[in-house]
Amino acid sequence: MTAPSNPRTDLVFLRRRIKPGRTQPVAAASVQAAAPVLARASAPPAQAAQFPPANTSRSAGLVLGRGTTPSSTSARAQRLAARRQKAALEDHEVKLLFPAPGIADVYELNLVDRVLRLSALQSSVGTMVVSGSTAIAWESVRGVTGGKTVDGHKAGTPVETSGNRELVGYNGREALVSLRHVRELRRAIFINRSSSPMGVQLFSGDTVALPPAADGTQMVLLAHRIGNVLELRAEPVPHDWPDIKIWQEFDFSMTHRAPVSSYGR
Amino acid sequence: MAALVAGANAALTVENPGLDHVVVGMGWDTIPSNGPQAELVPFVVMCDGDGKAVSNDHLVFFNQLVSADSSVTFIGDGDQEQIDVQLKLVPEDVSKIIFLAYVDPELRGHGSFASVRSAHIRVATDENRELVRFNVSVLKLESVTAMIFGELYRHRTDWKFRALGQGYSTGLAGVAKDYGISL
Repeated sequence: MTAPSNPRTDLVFLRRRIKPGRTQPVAAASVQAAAPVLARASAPPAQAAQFPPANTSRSAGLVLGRGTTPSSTSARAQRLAARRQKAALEDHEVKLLFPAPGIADVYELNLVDRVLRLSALQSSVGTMVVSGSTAIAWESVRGVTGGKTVDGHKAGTPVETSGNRELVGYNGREALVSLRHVRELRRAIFINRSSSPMGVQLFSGDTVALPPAADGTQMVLLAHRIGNVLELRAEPVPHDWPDIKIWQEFDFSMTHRAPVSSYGR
Repeated sequence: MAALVAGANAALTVENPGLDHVVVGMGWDTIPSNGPQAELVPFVVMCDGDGKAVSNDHLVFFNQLVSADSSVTFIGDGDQEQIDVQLKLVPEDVSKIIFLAYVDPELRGHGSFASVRSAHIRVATDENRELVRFNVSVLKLESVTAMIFGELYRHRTDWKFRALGQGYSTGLAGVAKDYGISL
């Protein structure tokens, strides 16, 4: 694998880099501070301009109560404001990402087409089915981490959803992600040791493939939630790395349940 | 408070002058199961004059909490789910707002409405004064995988609410087909 000549546009963390001195003008900041409602990214530009910038100071983020009617002090109005703020921040987070194709635009995730991004609806309906994987690992938003192999070996802690299903797990030889509970998921990886490609399928029927190992490199599928969308990435790793080495490379540290007897005794 | 039957409507803004903000609550009980159980997902579609979704940005559900124009917001409360609708903020090209729930099409046994009891939808003011209520009663629930509970719709310059209780055996896919939603 050769180093790319162009700047990497697929690295999410780069969006957090903000050049020193590029601060919000005072006038603009004051307008944002007075805005009672945070609009969604797809709103008209005049509304979209009300988004808090990435480098907004902490005080500028606590402005939802200002300029609103007295009824806004009620618990319902506060919940409403909190939901709108949460949605606005998620949209803002997604808006900061580099453009990426959708699943309908990509036939295969590989060293050239490394990443695709699902829509909010695609990220949340039914089950994401990953066929051809031999091992998986997951991390929930609460930091619960675990792993499984298709042969039934387990490590770490499973994440059970309210529907009595695992958030990420195997059903036969297919790895499944319960998208109804996608907001509990931080990320998951899917490892393929076989000589066959991996495939991803959504409820919509859209699919994408990942090639099997070649030239000493295997593709690991990384499903990573950013705001309200899932991003799927092909991450190349050396073929001879064992699963535990791949977990370490992706910074998965398996969590373990403390024995029940250790609580409150 | 008025109790509606399927197909009946209520003139919300005519009977409540000055009403510009309603909270739509959807609720139900689910028979608990030790195994995988049906998971109902409340879902709101903002439709144009042709009865189709304006766009996928005009859907409101747990993973898209606010509509594109900020008029419809998904909040949770005493009902299973509540949807806040600021009628004055709803764009003119939106002629009706559909409130439905679908059974999540999970591969590991998604189930149906057969395990659902006491499904209802209610419309209240922002101070939680109930205006209308519809207790959904549908036969053959075991084949129903999505259900439209009711709709808010424009009638000239006013807003009305219609109780529906329309079941789908084709789940979200059927709803998406009827309302032009891109899955």
